Amino acid sequence: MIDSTDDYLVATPLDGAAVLLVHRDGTRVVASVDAEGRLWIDRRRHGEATRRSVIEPQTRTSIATSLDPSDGSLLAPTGGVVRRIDVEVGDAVATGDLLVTLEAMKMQIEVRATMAGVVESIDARSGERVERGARVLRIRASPRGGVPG
Amino acid sequence: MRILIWNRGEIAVRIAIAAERLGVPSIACVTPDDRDSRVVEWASEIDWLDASEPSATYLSLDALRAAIVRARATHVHPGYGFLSESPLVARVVAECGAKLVGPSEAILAEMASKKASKAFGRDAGLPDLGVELCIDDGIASVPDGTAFPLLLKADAGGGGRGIVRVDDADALDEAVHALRARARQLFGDDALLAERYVPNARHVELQVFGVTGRGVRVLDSRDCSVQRNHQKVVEEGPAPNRVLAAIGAYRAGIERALSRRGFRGAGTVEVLYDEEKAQVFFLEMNPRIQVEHPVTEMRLGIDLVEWQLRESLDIAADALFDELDAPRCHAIEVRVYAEDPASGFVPDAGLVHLLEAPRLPWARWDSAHRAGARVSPHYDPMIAKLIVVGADRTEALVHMRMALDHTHIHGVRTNLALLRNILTSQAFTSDTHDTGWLGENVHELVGEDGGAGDAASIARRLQPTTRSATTRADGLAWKDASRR
Repeated sequence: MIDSTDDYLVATPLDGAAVLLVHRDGTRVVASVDAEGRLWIDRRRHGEATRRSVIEPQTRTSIATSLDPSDGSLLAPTGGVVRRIDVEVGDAVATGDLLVTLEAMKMQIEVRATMAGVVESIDARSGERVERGARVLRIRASPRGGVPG
Repeated sequence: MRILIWNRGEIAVRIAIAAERLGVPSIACVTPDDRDSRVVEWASEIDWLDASEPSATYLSLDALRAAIVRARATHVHPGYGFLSESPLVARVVAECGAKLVGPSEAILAEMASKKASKAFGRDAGLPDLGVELCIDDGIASVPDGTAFPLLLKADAGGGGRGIVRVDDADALDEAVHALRARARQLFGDDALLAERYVPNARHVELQVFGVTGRGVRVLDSRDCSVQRNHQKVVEEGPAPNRVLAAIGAYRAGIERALSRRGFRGAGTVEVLYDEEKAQVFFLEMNPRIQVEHPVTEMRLGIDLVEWQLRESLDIAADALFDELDAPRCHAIEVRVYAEDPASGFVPDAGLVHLLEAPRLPWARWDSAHRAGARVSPHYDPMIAKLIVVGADRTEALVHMRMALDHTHIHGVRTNLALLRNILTSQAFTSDTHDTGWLGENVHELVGEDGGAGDAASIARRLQPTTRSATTRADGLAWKDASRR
């Protein structure tokens, strides 16, 4: 099965809630999740050492995503589930404000505003799965460039 | 005949398998923490113990006595570790009318003390590193002209905390007092001994085996120089040629000294090879099977645990030495531990939800663990021993790297990355490492964390099979995020 949302071509279920993935670049990944929600990953390319990592469920990555200055669109920096939208249409936001929390399973990705403005539209719902590059919301830049009144 | 297995983990499995091959019933004593052990599948009968703590089970002579009676055992195999080297076990087993798979109580008593076992070393003609340590009116001293550094060792202690290095004469008195106090506390015995410290050394051992009426033979050698905190991590055989050349002269003396004592079954004579002096020195004699015995088994094409049983139960024991072939191949063993090398090797207990052993024709996987079983905090955190063979050392190294790369253990942190880094390091591949090498280079060797990378994409592909787990994690993460 080819999944168009990422670069993994094949997913083969293994024992114990684990999966073997084959990446476009040849990397093989053996991954699984334990009962505490930790993600276990063994990554290896032919002839190279296996790189092992354990990703804690609490891992939260904050990404300051640039809003497209032409129309103020916020595009999802990664595919994932919209966990939480912290603003409503009409809200004034300042640079650094938390707008949206995306979740790529084990990681909470906080998307923050990189410019001040007013939320003009919200194009995703909480709980919705979005693909990378999908528009999540749009902000109209504040004329004064600072914190809008 | 009925064999009681007074041990756990992979050695219990090995004993059960060997017993079945010989057609003798085995009884495994299984603790609550070990109910998922593979020994449950292999032993003929299970005696379910009601405690998991070693002090109430495998370290308790009373528990052993009761188990022998319940099992109506004729023989007891003590495995390694726990009480396997205790002369008291031999006595208890005999009092119960059974036979210990191992040597006599007298030999166990001699080898249990570092000081007493040195007499055996001298008897075998082996020099040792002993330095006369005099403690007079609380003042410690060594003979004039003694070269430092020295190693102070608690006579009754094992490795690790019972060993202290003293760099110069001024530091001796204080070190002696500190170690005596610690030895009293840890081992209930403050007797100490001093040894010359050898900075550039290899730890090498000889596998010996004794059969009543046939004497004792040195079967083969192993090198165990990759150690951390005096704990062996990688073992291989044969030992380097230069070490074998230095040991050769003592082989007959070792066989003679052990034969004279009536040594029976499997044992190991451990020596230190001083690279500068090109000379071996006696360390200790272990009168039991050792963790790393598969290295020798793969080289000689024999089953040493089965040999132990055949010797003890007298099943064609006379023929054992005649079954030996010339050693072939190079063998390497690594110990796969549930531990975090990056945090000082702290053991990691927990549920192993994924366990993929390498399936390769040259790789052997000795383990009592399976996916879905827990690593108990009560026991040594060894998950498995991985053993490979190759036509020579170079090929064996390639085989081990491949085997490690195709081993996947998820659920507890392991030393797999560390092992891979050791196997590909310049020092190990060129066979120039020494006993201090791993400890001195551990920070470079612990193994990298691959990092999150595209963990989100990977995680998404797991969802169908792990919904319940992820839902729980979502809840935690949500709670966490809303607190801000």
